[in-house]
Amino acid sequence: MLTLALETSTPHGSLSLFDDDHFLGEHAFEAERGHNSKIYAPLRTLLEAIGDRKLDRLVVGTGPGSYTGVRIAIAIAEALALSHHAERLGVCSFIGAGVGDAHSRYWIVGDARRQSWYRGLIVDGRLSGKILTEDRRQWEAAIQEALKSGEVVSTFDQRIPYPGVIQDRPTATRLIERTKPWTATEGPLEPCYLAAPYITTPKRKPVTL
Amino acid sequence: MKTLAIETSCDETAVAILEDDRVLASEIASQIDLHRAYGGVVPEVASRNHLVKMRPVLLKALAAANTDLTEIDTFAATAGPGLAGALLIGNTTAKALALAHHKPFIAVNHLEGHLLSPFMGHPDGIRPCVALVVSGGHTLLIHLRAFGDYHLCGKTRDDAAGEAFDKVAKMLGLPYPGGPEIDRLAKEGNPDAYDFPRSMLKRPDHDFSFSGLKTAVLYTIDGLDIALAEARADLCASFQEAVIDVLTRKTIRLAQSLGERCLAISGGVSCNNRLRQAFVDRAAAASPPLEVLIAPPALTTDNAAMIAYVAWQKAQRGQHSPLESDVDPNLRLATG
Repeated sequence: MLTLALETSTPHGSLSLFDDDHFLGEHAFEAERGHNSKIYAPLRTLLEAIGDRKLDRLVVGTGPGSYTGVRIAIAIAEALALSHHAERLGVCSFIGAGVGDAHSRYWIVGDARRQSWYRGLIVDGRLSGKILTEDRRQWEAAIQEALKSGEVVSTFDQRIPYPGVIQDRPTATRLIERTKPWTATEGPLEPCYLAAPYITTPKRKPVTL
Repeated sequence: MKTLAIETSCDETAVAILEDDRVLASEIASQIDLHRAYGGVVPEVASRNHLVKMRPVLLKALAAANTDLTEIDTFAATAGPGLAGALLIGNTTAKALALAHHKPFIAVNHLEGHLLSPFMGHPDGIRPCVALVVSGGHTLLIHLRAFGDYHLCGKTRDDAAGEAFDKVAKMLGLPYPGGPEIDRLAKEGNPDAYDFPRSMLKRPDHDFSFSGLKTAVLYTIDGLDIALAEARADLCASFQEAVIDVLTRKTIRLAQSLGERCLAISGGVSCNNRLRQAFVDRAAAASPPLEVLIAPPALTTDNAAMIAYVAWQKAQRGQHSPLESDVDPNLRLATG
């Protein structure tokens, strides 16, 4: 089974290719905002490596993280899935963290923007419950509590130099390794949105000139 | 040659498939209902919905064209101008399809799609003319000398004509989008009921301005001595006539000064019934008479068929785009 994974929820993007358990290659790239232009060279290299064979499965890290990065990965996965008649699997990017494995328990924490912070718990390689969003005080208290209990707390966000929190990044290779028995996603692939769209409304009169 | 194009520059998820310049399928999933509550397009809402709609619209277009992806010769997508997050969805999808099928990708300027849409399926193809692209985001007067040779002669200095339609509709308590509502109500009104200004008509340049007209409508509404509901149709007709007067006269004047005998009218506002008729009537009455090409109504609003048409033109000239090319929300069309 040929499986290609795309992980672009952070500026450290990666693509990985497996043939069943056989690792065929991973390509990493840096892209703060330019995933759309930087992802094609490594993607082309991986697709050329399989020649005329068809992909059987596309795995996408759906975040949370960069909406733009994740949407690009999803758009590519949908296009490749249609072209190769392959199945698709969208998974939380936390699954691809370096701190854990398929059987461990760890927290991933980060900045959810707009005065909000998130934390999610991975247990036995799966997201346990929902990703929580809360204000900074609650979030910091929860991290302290977890660290005191000896739990592993990690972040993909380099702007969080919080004592005891491990700097980490998800990779496409780990996404494939840890989701092999998972069943494919049936509906549309969507990014992991932590909030409704932010919409500003006019503050004064309804008509502006 | 089969071309598949994707357009996601704003709030329409559109996919079209052309066999040369013949439309085999043109599917559009509109998000207007989602954005109506906000009185305009919300970029983040648009991006989220493009991603959800992309796959079903693509499959629908392939089914309507009775073809599959292996039969497509060229994949294309809008690269700008537009909303960055929205553009990315269609652009990325088309590039990935091109890569998967070892076929060329062509990036298309959304405005070039509008500009050339009046020539689609026309037996004489693209030919020199004065082109007016008039939509919610743009009001451009262009001297089209040949495919790819566009000289910008005039543009709006403030609001686009379509934007003025939407804002005036809002003043009049009409729902978004305002253009079709004003078009509908104007049919019941008197275009001479209110004497609204024809901005910049006496100036020798080819630019437009619609903000003064908007202000005039607002002051007129404030000073009404009858209920707004009673005046609404007349206000719509009078406002619409003022916009159309300026658009038609300036376009015809530019054609006459350049010695061009053909006008090409496109963009969302060119769907307006009164505008279409006014161009036909006034061009026929001009000396010498001018030929008018107006995009069919289905091609006036955002669609992917016009993008595919431009891509087909480019493909014949070998003008492919690298997959590394990115979207540009401020992509420009013409020089000048």
